Amino acid sequence: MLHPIDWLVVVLYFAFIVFVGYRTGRGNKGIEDFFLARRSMPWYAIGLSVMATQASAITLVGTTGQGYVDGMRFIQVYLGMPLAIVILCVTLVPFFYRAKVFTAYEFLEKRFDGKTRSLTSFLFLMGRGLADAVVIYAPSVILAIVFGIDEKVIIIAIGLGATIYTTLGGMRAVMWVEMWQMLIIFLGILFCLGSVIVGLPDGVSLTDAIQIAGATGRAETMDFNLDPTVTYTFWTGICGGIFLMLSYFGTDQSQVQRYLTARSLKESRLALLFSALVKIPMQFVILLTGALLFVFYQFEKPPVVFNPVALERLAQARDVSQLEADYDEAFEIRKEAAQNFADALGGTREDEMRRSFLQADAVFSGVRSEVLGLIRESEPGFSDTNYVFPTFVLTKLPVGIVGLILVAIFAAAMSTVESELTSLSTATVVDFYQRYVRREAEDSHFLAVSRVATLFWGGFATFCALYMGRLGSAIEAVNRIGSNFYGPILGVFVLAIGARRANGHGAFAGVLLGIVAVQLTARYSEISYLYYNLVGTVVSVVLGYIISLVFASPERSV
Amino acid sequence: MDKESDLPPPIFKTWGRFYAVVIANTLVTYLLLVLFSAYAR
Repeated sequence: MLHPIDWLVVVLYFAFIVFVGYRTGRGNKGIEDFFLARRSMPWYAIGLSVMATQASAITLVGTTGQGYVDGMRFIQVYLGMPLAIVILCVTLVPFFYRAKVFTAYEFLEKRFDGKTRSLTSFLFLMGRGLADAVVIYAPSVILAIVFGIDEKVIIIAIGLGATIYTTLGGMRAVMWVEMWQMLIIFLGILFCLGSVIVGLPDGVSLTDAIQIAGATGRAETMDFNLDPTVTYTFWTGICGGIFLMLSYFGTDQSQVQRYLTARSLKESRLALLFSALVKIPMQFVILLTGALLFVFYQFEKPPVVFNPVALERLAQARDVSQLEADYDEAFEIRKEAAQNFADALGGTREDEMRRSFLQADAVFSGVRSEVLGLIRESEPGFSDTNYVFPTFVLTKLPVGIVGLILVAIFAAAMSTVESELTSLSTATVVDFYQRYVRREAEDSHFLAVSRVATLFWGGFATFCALYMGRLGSAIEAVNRIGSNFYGPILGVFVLAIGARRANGHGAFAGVLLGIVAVQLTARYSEISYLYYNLVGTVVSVVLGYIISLVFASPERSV
Repeated sequence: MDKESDLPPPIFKTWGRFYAVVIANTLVTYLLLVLFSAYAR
């Protein structure tokens, strides 16, 4: 289904990435080279690498889909990020940098004891090990269905492609590659936004399009609702989001390792502050692209369901011709209503046209919901949100640009995978192999072990991704539990730098009790998931501190 | 660690001022998002 020119763009991308990886990754002599690029990286490379790590393919594909289906309210997740980064720059980052550690968890042994370090590192490996498989698998399924490429080919291209140059070149190669990948992602995002705006019909300007999206609530970026069960509000973004971002940027090895590669503390701080300043505008552009896609599809008929395979299965199982006819009719009525609304904007009939447009949109959405409901009878939980954007790219964009966007999706997936691989192998080698198996050896020995660890995690993630269809629910369950570890782990770091009387016993118990608290909160309460890290952090700090006092013993302090 | 290497970019003079600028920028971003929502409503 892809044009040869698009294939050429994809091949050129892979050739370029391998070339950059090879050029920049030569000369690794020990693990400080391999895992921390000899602490020599400049802030702009680290900043872009931090952003690339966070931006997975699902971020790119799913967030635009989210903008289309649900609107721009998702941006509130990131509201706390700049504030969290400032807090980290003042607190944890200097501690990590001055302690000259390889992993965030190594710092905990310096402050507490070996068991706290091993527990937190183990939780990281558990959480991230399988997450890596999801990062590879999720976009592969979508790209396979929409672009008609074999799913296994995509999984192997992303998984093994990233594994090969990460194993050969180590952190320096990964970070320079990620810098380019992030620039490609930026370029892809801007092309998408431009393409959607250009694709709007004559007579519908960008401001008209924003008003049309806004009429359906899709341009709502701020919601000051105080209800804690509403997932995306200003308050969940500020209160929960700060803790989510503190946990992610302060305790997740895949992020900490990036700023540990800086040639100075100043470069670490600049890198993080740069990513903090760029993140919200970037997410805004991605979500706006999704919301404008919704407007674009007011005037161009969208498929009734964006996942063509699911629709085909439904059509084979039952007669949907009446529903399709209803859908076509509802689309034509809505198209006319949208055009009338656009024409009436700023005039005396604006309110009247808005009402008739919203009525037409409700009828159209009703027919679509009916079809989605039929699919969900055989596939519970089915959603086509992630298919909206790739479908638009393939069917509406010109040759060459399709290749560029596909490359941006590949870049987003691979940049996250390679970051996870470096952090997983670092935690494995530094926190376990060097700690428990062999403390002293030649640099060449540890370098070889590090490469084997990287190869192992890359192979493991790719293997799990290949068999995700069969292992899906189990892996997803472990992944979901893994995401609940961050808050309690953040709590241990708070104890480490903020409570002089905290000790190893308290910190260790605090993490475990924090995890239990998060699990119970997730199970028995309705509060937004963004608050889970807040709950985990508070419980692990309070209980960890109390237990430290109970088991008080002379401890080292920082 | 080299003391010089921990100085902020000269324009800010201290890290505190740099952080203040980042926080102010964040607050302006919030305001812009509120205005965007209000405009599109």
